[in-house]
Amino acid sequence: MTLNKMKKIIFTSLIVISITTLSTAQRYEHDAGSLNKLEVYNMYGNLEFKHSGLPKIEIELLRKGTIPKEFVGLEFTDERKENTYSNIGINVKVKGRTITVRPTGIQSKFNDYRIWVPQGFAVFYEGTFEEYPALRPLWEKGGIQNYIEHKMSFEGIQGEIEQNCYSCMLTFRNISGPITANVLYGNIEAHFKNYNKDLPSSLKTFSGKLNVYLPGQINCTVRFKSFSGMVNSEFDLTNATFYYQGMPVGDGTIKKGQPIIKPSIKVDEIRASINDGGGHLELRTVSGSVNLIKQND
Amino acid sequence: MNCKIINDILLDYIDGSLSDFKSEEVKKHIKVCEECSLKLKQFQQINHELQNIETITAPLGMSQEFAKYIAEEKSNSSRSIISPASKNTVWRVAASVLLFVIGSVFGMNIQNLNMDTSKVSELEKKLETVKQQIALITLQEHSASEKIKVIHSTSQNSVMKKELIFALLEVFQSDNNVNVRLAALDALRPYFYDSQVKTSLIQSLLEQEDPYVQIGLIQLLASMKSYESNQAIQEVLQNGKLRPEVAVIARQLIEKRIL
Repeated sequence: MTLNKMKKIIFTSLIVISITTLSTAQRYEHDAGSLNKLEVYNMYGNLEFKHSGLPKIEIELLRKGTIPKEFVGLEFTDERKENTYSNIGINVKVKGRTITVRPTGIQSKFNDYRIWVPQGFAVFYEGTFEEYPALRPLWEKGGIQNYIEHKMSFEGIQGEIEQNCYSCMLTFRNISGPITANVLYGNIEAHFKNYNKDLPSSLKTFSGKLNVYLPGQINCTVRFKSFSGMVNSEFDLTNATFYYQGMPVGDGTIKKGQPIIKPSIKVDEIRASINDGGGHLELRTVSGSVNLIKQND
Repeated sequence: MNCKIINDILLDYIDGSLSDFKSEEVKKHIKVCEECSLKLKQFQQINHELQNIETITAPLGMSQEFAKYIAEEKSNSSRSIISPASKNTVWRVAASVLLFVIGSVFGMNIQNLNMDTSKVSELEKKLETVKQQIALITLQEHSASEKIKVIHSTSQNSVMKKELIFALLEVFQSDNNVNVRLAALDALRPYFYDSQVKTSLIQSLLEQEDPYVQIGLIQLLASMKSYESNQAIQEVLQNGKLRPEVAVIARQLIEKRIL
């Protein structure tokens, strides 16, 4: 064996070892076993939830984030001693059939992660200030969104999704529902593959835009609530009843493309059917617009 | 309205508990839909036959025993030492006992004992209320979507019992999910003129932190156009607890720019 050939073998081996070590260091895995729910708290970096089809939960660290100066030096108030720590800045706790994931420190709060979700798992996300009492004044003055704006996406998740965040751009793709989403500042975009007939979905944003994509043949009963935003639909909305302050003020059919709610019209809620009606979909905003979009089947 | 909606409210239409607006909608639909028209006739026939059945009452003392049992359970569940889990268990036991009681009543009915119709129907109504109460009380065990579904189904009642209204108030004040709280607030809207409900909601305005919930409450209070509701809005505006964007909308509502 020539020296050059030996060098090549050693070099390739080193690369393989480095890649293996690096990939292990960037990933955390946990067997799904009898678990059926994933809960994630207080991650303010970009966060992706993806359906994996494998019987394990995998969490990948995609990028280390930057800590806003307002967060530097703040301490957690929640108890973490009993938790299992991973090597990618998260800690994991299993209780009953639920696995809970939280950041281990201020740095990991702002990291970007991708979480692979096993089939049929329900997913719950929540951002709270309970662990950061020092941030409350900032929240009350209305400035917190500048520090924790992030992107969050859910793709192909088959179980129920519940999501509560303060400031994020939220996307759901290839979803059947049900979804309960609550965003204070930011847009919600939801692409439904089909619609759950048994359990309602409820999407709410305070000041963002709500774009909901539905298959053309979907049967669903929709309820819009908006204080001053516009509502537009690419679907004909039949059996529509208009409400103002909880009282019915009219009914009829709304043809596609027709603007439904304007600030000048005294209607703040519409209940209507798409095609034959069916599973319930609630869409709420204060000042943002709501768009029901027909997606290509 | 489509056939599904009509189907859901047909029984309420028969017993006359629908609002005039909804009744008119049902009438319009029945005129043009053969299937629903047939269903209505079948329901009316069943209803007529049920009213003619000679029914019987529970044995003397059973109703009192039942009321006593519920009162005991209520007092037990109000003790702070009971955890939510055991509270749910208590309600499950109460439900089982209730179902047993009702089952026994109907069992005796079959045996043609001499009983009173009104007492049985009273028990039936109690059972329905308790079932819905249990559904609301045990909500914490369920997902947000399931909770919203239960609230929707509870709000289908044309007139809600006090117990259900208070259970909904509890959901509105304490559920972790904002969308669930908003669904509960929507369901409570027709009962806002009840003084206890009004007082609780005014109090909630000082406690709720979510801006959307605050706006929902402020809009509800502003629609009352009463002195005390205006006072409540003024109070939260003055104490600085509202976020700036909520305060702007609250002022607009008070000045009737949006109303």
